[in-house]
Amino acid sequence: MTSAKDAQDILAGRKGEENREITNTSLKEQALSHGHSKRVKKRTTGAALLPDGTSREVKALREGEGVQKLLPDIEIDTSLGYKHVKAKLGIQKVRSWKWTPFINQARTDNAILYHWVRAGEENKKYQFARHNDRVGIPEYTEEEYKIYLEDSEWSMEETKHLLELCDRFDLRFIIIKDRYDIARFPPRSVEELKDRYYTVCNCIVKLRAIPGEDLSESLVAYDVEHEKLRKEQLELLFGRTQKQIEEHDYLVEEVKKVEYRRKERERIAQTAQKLIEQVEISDDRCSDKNKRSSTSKKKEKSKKDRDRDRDRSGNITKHLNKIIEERGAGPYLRSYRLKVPNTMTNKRAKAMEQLLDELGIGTKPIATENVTTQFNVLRNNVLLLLELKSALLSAEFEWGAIKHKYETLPESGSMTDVENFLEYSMDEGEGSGSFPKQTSSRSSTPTTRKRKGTTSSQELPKKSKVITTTN
Amino acid sequence: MENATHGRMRGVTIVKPIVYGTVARLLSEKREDGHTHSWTLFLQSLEGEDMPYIHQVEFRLHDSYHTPTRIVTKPPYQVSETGWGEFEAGVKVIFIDQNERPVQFYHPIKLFGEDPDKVPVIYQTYDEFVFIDPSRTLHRGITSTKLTDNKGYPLEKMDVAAIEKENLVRLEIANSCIASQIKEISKKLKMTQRGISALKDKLEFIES
Repeated sequence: MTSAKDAQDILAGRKGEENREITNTSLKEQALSHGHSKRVKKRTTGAALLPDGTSREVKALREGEGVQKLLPDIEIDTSLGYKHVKAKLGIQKVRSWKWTPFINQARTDNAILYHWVRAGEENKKYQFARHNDRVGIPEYTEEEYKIYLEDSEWSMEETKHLLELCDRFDLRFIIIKDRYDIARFPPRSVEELKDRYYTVCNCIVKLRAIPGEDLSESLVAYDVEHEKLRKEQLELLFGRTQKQIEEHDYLVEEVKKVEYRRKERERIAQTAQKLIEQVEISDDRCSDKNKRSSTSKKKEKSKKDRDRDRDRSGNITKHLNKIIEERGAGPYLRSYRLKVPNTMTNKRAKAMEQLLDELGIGTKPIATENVTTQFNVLRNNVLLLLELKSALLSAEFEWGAIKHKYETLPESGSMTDVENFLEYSMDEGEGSGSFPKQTSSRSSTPTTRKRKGTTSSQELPKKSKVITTTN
Repeated sequence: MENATHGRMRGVTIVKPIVYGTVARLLSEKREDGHTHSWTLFLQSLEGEDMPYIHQVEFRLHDSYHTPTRIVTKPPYQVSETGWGEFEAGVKVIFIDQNERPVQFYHPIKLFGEDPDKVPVIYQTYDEFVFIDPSRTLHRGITSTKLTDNKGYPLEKMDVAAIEKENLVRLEIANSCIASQIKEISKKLKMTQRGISALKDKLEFIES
């Protein structure tokens, strides 16, 4: 069986080559032999994927068709083939090892230990001794201490004791604290020990420094207060009860929610600004439109229809409203214009429908041109109204929140003051003219804000004086 | 005016008023299969014109009917059936130029009227085919309509002008109502916003 397969493989490989030539020569022939060549190609690529030296059985698994093909083709970096098909084990004689005594230079006790070493290397130094790093403990004379290191909290003896311990335990401060001689000296916290040690270190480093040398790397920054606070906080965090942890998580979630709502309100407040502008634009447009429709009536019907449609879509795309009518060439039913667009959310569509019902219009007036046009004007206005309502709702919420904040401030006046203040500011607002023309342009939101901000801040000191006097 | 690009009549829009609906009658006695009513679903030109621009009309009935899709290739475009329940029937109008997209809509089969003494129960809807830039073939069809002496449906004459007028009046009232609400609410909104920004400034002033 295997020999037959091998032969087939060889043949298939040749055929593959032939086929490739054919594909180069004529497209027609390729189309004819397409199925076959595809199969062959697969074979050759499959074989190419496997590194040299793969056993035939594995190859068969990879190259078989249908059920036979059990392994998927996965790209393998073929440059990384096996270098040797079989592991070449050494035939030389095994080198001998010896059980030898040695002295660890890192130790001070000259203890003799034993280890295995290759024959001939018995007299080599113990190589791991070099890993025994020592911390360079600063040294100082008595005079130096008296001049530079005097401290009301630390005696010279205690400092010496600390440095000895540092040297002995390689700055493992937890152990140092444990071994601290509390019979002779007062008990110290780890932070105090560290602080004293690094102060001494830094002082000596500065003392020994060559003038002009950069000391930033050799100086150690240690902030006791910060460390104390940090550990205290960690202690608190670690010592929380399950209930406290849950409460904390809950609060974090709540904060997120509050933040989300705040952002949502801000967003609505911004659209509110646009909505107000839109109201003003549509007011202008209404008068405009009346003129236009009276003139267009004189034109022939078909032209009027087109003009109107184009006019409408052009006007509405400038707005935030949802019902936009754009009809390309082709037949349609007039009643299509009465449908609710798919782009509208269900909630909004429901609200709109309800309002239309309340108005006694319903969702299906008679589908004449004038009625559908007017119906869509109405629907756009209804949408605008709905937007405005939700904007107002969120604005009132914000007003409530800010009012509450004001009332709870100790310096603030009573709420009647606030009401007065509000009326005052509104009168001011109305007095200064309700939104000059320039603000109804599209990009006006920030400018109006700024304008408002500046004017009211100019007014503010005056008014606040009044309030403080009434208190 | 007329450009021959893509075989369309550019700048031409033609409107054809139509009416579609159902007429239902109670059967003299309940049939064995439970059917109680006979009804007809129809599509017609409002003014009694023929509709040579239609290739065929497909009526899609409730799935419980034998062969729920009924294709009518000749006028009158209607389906008569018996049944016991109301449902939404689908209607698809394919035009003589089959490259033009078909028009589809739904219409309820009404068996029970609001006034039980009124027979038959007629429920019809006015609509309009609007042909924007029709193809030449379709245009030929649309412009070759002629009046027929077909005295079939609509059984109840529709005074479209009067209904339209009434609708427009109601829309006008509704629109002015909405407009005043918009004004009122936008004013309130404006005031609230002013209040907020003013109080915010004041708060900032106190805090600083």
